[in-house]
Amino acid sequence: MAIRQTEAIVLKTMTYGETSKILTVLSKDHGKISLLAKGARDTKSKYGGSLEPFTHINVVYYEKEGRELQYLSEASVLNGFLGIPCSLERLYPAMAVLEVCSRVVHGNEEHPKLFELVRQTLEGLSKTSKRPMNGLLYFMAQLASLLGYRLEAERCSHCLHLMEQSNFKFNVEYGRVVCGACPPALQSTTLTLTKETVAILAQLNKSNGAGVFNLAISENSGREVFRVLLKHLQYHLDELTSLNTLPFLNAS
Amino acid sequence: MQYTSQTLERIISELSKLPGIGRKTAQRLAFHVLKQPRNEVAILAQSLLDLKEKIIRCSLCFNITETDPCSICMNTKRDRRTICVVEEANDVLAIERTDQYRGLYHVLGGLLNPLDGIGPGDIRIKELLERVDSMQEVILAINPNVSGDATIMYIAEKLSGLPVKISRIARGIPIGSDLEFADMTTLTRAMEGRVTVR
Repeated sequence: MAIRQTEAIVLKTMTYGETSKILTVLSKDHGKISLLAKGARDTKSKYGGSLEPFTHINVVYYEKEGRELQYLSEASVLNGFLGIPCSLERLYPAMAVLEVCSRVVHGNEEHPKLFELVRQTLEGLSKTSKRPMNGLLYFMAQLASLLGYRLEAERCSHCLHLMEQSNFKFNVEYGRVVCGACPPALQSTTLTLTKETVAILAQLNKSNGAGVFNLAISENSGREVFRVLLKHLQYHLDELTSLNTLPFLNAS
Repeated sequence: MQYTSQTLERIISELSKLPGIGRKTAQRLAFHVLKQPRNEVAILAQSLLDLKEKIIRCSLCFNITETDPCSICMNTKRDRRTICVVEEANDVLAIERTDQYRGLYHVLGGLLNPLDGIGPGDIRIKELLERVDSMQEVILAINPNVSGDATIMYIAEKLSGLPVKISRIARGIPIGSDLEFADMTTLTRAMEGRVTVR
């Protein structure tokens, strides 16, 4: 049995027994881990509020090979992202980030870039006072890039001309944005996009996270960008076909 | 291991379905019951049956009760202008044990949890909104976790247009503990929820 120490972000918790909790965390060094936190729901628990979803923590746990559930020994908060649970507008996108992340990461795959993307997105959502949905759009665009499915939006994926027209299509099957002049054969399963949507997609791809909440995105364009990114990710990742958080995002 | 008695095997199997009871504990309980006088076992068996047959949900507050409405909703001495919203019926018992609260209750039967797809339609928020018209204060005594926060914000949003005070129970340091060992999240919430002493 080895003692491991790593940074982690709590993705999900569930109750176990009378006072314990099982956590699913995304760790910086060991991918997704399930941890048993004994007595975590007791009012006198040493863990306090450190094991809630979103929390960025430093964990020490006992790892035994072949066991799916590891035992948590210590947890200390690095950042509680306390701004997130203060408003539903921030909470729903943040929960969608956790759900998507929980579904796309399997087992102990180490993924420090994804960890940093999640941490950065949650930090932005916690601090922002405006346009929290931008955080989710940024996360989805960057996630597609990290997984090798970057959604090219600067140039037409077929004729490679710069996107300067007003008529665009998103080809779900090919995962490409094409201009209106390109042959219809490439546009068999398509969504029609506005110029604003294509420009936003290009900006989300280029963004480093800072300033993403300052992007002025109209409600309609925001919905269209979300729809395109979701369809794109869902086409490549079966795990995302029925997201639990989707009805909450649609209702907000 | 199989016992020579199928009856004993069945009771062990049934008892081990209970939360926190493993097969060994179930076996110990079964042998304990076997040694008890017949009338005591009959009382236990009858109590278990009564639990299913007599206990219902109060149609007003959704607390567990044997009479509808429940004794709390029927009690004319209680403050009928204050309602305390809790997640489950055992939270009512916990608050009643304090002997400090004299208002009514509303049991939600769960909390909003977007990660598990539990939405407002899955818990008794609609029924709460129907009761709030005659209230002066709604106290949200809901567990201090992310689901609890989501539920509190949702209810507060729904009640925002009504002339009713909405409060939530304090979050912070448990009595008897040391600040030194409190985690950052708890301590931050405790500072936010500080009360004026003088």
